[in-house]
Amino acid sequence: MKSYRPTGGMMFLALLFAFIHVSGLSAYGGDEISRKPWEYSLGEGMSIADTGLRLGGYASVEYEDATNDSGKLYFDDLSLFIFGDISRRWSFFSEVEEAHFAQIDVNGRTTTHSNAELERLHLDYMNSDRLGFRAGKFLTPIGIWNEIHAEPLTWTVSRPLVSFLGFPEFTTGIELFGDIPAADGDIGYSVFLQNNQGLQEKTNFRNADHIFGGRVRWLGPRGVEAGIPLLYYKEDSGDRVYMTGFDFSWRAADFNITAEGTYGSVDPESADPSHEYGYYLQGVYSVTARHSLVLRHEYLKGRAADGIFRALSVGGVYKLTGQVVFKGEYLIRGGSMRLEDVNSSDEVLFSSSILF
Amino acid sequence: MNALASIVVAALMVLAQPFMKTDDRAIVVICHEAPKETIDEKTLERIYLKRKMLWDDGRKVIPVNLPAQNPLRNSFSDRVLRRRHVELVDYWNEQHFRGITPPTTVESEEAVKVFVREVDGAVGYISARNLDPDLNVLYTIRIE
Repeated sequence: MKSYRPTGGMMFLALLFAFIHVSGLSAYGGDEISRKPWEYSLGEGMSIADTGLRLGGYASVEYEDATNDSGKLYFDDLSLFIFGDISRRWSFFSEVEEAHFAQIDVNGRTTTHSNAELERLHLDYMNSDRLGFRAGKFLTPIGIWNEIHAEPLTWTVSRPLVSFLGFPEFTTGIELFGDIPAADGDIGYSVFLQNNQGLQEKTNFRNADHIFGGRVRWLGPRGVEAGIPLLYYKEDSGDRVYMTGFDFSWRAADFNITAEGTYGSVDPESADPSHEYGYYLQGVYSVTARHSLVLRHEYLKGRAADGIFRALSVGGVYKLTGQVVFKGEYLIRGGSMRLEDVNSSDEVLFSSSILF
Repeated sequence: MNALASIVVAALMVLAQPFMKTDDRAIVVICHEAPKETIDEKTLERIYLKRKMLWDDGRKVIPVNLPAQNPLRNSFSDRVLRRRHVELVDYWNEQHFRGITPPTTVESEEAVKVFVREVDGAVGYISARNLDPDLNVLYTIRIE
């Protein structure tokens, strides 16, 4: 894990706010024109005075009870976003997250600690719908889950390993992106580059000092989306990884099928090359507008001697509103994975979360 | 003669009524300063899902909506967005996580007209019968 490095983030924030202030762009407002100052609505955040910026976020509480451990209640995420349009073409987004900041065990013992992290901080410039430019720290645009991972927005409490273990979750660098309308849907693309240490990478499973990648995504008709990424990254340890994969999603009236897979070729500095690959396949059936059932299978073969991981998740979701979500899940795990922070025993999980 | 003319006019009005009704039920998509590109339902879908953010001339696209329970909005959404309400809620929740907010909502069709007159790049929709001469029609949706 990398050490806490607030200096880069603070400098970036200072430069960003200086830019907004000096350019006089903060009064632009964009779509905020008819919104009242301090207007709030659940799931859309709150207008910050007449700046055109909004404050939003999400929070969750999670209960975990694994067969090889005692039950624990986590105050898992408290995430705050500040974002908005600062001119017709410029916009920015920032997210600070406090994860696992308090824990209560079965004996009622409470432990707290601060894990605050600057998860995202980026400035976007839209030249056109076909070409946008992003600079800062952003979620690496690979797969579906990594870009939309907030607890109120996912169907299970647990996150499939393949959605974060095979690549750096965050990129601190630049990105070119856009959507090109096609006859039957849009073609989205993204090309991104990092050539430095990442900004405040405290939760990344794979920390890298060099990332170069891209993704092509098809947003088709009738709720079908599919994407293919290509990625090269060099980890802090010196290991070089070449990765590709796929993602697929089909949203219909009462069901939703999602799948992601990755395949990575690992070229370590001081060991034999190895491969890391895996997938998950998830089906969601909406019994009513508020109640859904979830079934997911995942498999991951880790690099070198990391072992194999298998899991079958059975879960249920109750949405009090679109933004207040309760989830329960039973995870049947197996395999021989020996990575720290990866639990291979069965587990019961519950969560309640809110997007605000 | 006058009686005959009245009967003919009355008959024509009765015959024309179905067509007049069709026009009454049409939705017109309006703006104040027309963009260069042509608009179709696919483009409108992209505008109202905020996947199209800029007009080709560089102005920001600012869609405006009627309130959620407004029948005209429901007709427009059914036809253009082709998503159920619950799907749209999920969609906008995800967009919030990306820093994108849903289109601005105003209370009435009159407010839509005021909005598109005052806001550069704004686009809205109203009933065809409420159209004013100074507004440009980008697209007409005939409701079955």
